[in-house]
Amino acid sequence: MINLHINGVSYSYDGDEEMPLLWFIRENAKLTGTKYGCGISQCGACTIHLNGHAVRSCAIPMSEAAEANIETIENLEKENTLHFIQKAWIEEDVPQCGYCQSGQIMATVKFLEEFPNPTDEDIDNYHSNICRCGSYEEMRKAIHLAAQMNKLGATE
Amino acid sequence: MTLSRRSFLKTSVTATGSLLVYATMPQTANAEAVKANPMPFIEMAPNGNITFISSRSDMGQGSPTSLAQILLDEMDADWDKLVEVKETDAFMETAYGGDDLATIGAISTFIGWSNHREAGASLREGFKLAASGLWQVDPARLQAEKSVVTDPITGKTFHYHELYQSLSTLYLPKVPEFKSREQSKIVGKPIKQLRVKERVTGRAMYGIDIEFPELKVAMIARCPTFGGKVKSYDGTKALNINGVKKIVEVPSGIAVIADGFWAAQKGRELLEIEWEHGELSELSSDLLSKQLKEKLDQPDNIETVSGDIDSSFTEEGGMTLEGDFSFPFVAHATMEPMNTTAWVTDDKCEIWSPTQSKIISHQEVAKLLDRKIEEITFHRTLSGGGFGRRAQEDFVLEAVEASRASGYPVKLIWTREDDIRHDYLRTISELKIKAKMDDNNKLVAWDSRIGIIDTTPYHFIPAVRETEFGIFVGTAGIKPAYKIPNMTLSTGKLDLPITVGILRGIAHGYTNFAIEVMIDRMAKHSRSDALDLRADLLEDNERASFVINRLKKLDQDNPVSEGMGRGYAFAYEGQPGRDYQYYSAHMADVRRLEDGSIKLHKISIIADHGRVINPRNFKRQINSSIYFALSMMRSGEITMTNGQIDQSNFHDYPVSLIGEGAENVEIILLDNDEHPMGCGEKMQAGIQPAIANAIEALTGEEVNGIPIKNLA
Repeated sequence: MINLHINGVSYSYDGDEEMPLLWFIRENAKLTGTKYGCGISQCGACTIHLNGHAVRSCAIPMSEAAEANIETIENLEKENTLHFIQKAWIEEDVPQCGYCQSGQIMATVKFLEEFPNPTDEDIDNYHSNICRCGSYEEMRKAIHLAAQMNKLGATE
Repeated sequence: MTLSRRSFLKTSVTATGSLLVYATMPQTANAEAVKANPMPFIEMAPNGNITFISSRSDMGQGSPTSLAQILLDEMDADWDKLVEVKETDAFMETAYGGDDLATIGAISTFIGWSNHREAGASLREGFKLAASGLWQVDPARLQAEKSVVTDPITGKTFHYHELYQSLSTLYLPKVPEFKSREQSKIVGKPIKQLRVKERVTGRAMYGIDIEFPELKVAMIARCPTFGGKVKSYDGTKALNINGVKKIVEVPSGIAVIADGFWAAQKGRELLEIEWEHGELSELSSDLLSKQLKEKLDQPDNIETVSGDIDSSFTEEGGMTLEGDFSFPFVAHATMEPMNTTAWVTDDKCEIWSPTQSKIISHQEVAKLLDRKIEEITFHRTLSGGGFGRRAQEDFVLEAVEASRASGYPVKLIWTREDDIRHDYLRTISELKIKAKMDDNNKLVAWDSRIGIIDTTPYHFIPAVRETEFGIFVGTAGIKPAYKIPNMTLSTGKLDLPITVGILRGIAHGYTNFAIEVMIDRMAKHSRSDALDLRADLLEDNERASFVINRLKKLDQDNPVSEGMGRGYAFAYEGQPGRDYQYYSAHMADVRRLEDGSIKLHKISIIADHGRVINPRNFKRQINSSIYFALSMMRSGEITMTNGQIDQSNFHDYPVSLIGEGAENVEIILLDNDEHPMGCGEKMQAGIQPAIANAIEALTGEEVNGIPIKNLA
């Protein structure tokens, strides 16, 4: 039996321990904001936070999620207030089809913790989620805007 | 032909008290047609809030926003009251005046400019008429603005929602006049996309997110070889997997029905299937290229567009150039892999699908089940990318088959591997263009030959699969806009069981690529100016000439920097006299990076797509099209060995990441008063050859197709 916590809610699981965490999140916890895109940790559409780290949940077997604290895109919005990165995304009108954007945003949360004042080069080197639509230029602006908003304390 | 034009509105109150407004296109402006097939455009709540009903698929290209702009602008509605977008539930082509709602070919804006404008104008006049009846005044003196009708003489006002009870069935004497550009308050404005909040919170519901308690996941094992099929199978081991419910045979393979994705995938791995690989089991991309090259000299169809190429090539003097181009198969790789949810029982069928082709898919389900179309409920969901892949109905029918065969409601999910290996690929192609300039540097002869896999059997409109028009998917764009006195176009096709289809811009990504590379080469070899040469050949076409001359000015004002290579390209569709036309001129500068790779330093695009509905969205579509083009040029290569696709996922079919675009982008939208055209798919035709030409200019080496391995 595996116990884990997703967005503050406790779950238990006694199925195949090799099953990727992605499918527990989507099918058992019914949190469909986290997406399947490749299943081999290439695209990042399934990016979530596991014990404070951005990881690709399609490559994390359930056995590694035991006792983990997991956060998904659904947990970014607090008390009806969007996370500042979500606000920046809206301000720059980033999403096209939007399918990859949960992963893009979850990756950016941790990226900005590491690079609070990112340069374009930092973004190019460390932001590796695929957007097949190619909304990257708007995304780049949104990442810079989010960094500014963060500095100004717009963290609610 | 002038139709007798009269406009018709019909309203009904929804269960939640909103007013649902139907309107008709003039072609079907009769009460019976509307009754049978309502064309819903908006719902208005008692407080005046508006829900826009989207007739087109929403796959990120921005059509719902642009169409809402057209409608709300013309009806003088308050944009801030637009709170929601819903998918249309119309299921007959007659509902929207013969429009099958296929979301392809930049036609959302193209058609929307007609029907959404007419509906909007009809609504505006309908509200005025309703107010005039209540006030007992002449409707002609009333004004409408931001969802309010005002009588300027009395100063009285009605909000639209106060009039909705009076706006029952209304016949207007004629389709009202449209607004002028100066009167527009919403069209032409850089409005942000609708549905953005749901897309940044994870709440947006794509096809793959459909969920209800009874639902199972279906995964299908398909023969890895094109044209192959199941000989025999044993599902015993698969059935031992916890969560696997049933194994059923369907026309495309063996379907595993399971409680969830993981069980279905594990079950599928344990299926023991003997395949009958069929006639393509020794076919490879190399062999296909060879066969297609042979087709260049043995074409199936020769079209003489003008003059006589044979005599002009044998005539003495001038300069003749020959170019050979090869393009591989290309896969769509939409972020959301194909999927569809279907629930088929004896007396019911309900479908949820991220499709670009709602009505056609619905019709095909009805045909498959031999049921009436109205007995099937078909919900279109959001799509995680499309690029033409979702115009095909194969994955919808697979879900229906899996549900019917298993008795379960199923969500058919394709893995990424399924998506790459069983795509409706852009066909592999070979092209040869022979062109001649006379001693005055006039292009006098054009011999174009193309070899492709026959696209006819796979055309996205089933009715076209039997006709000669199906080849268009593979040859679109092969005829240059240039006026050349001697021109012949030859087509050779291989009829093979390889699923091929449209990919972001039909065939223009390779046809126009070859044409435009040849033009830059002709200019170089004749020491002519590449843009003057084009302008000269387009002088009869005003809009085409204009974009070229506008680029010429940009070129002169910004000479190419030291160490850069510059290339040009022109792209178009349609012809003068038709509404469906667009023209664009492209200029690319490339440079060599320290590691020897080539980087797109800058691309400038002059676009005449008629009037621009939303410049913000237009520009982002161009920005993202550049990334898409570079993906394809850098690594967009699907290969085949033994009749099977070699690639499987993003590790061996990589696409652009952030930073792998252009270093600089300059976009000039002409935004004239011509009929508006979308642009989502159209930019591939010009961006790619401009980059190829810039690389030729920088390196002096020919770029004879894609992929271009050292492209950064």
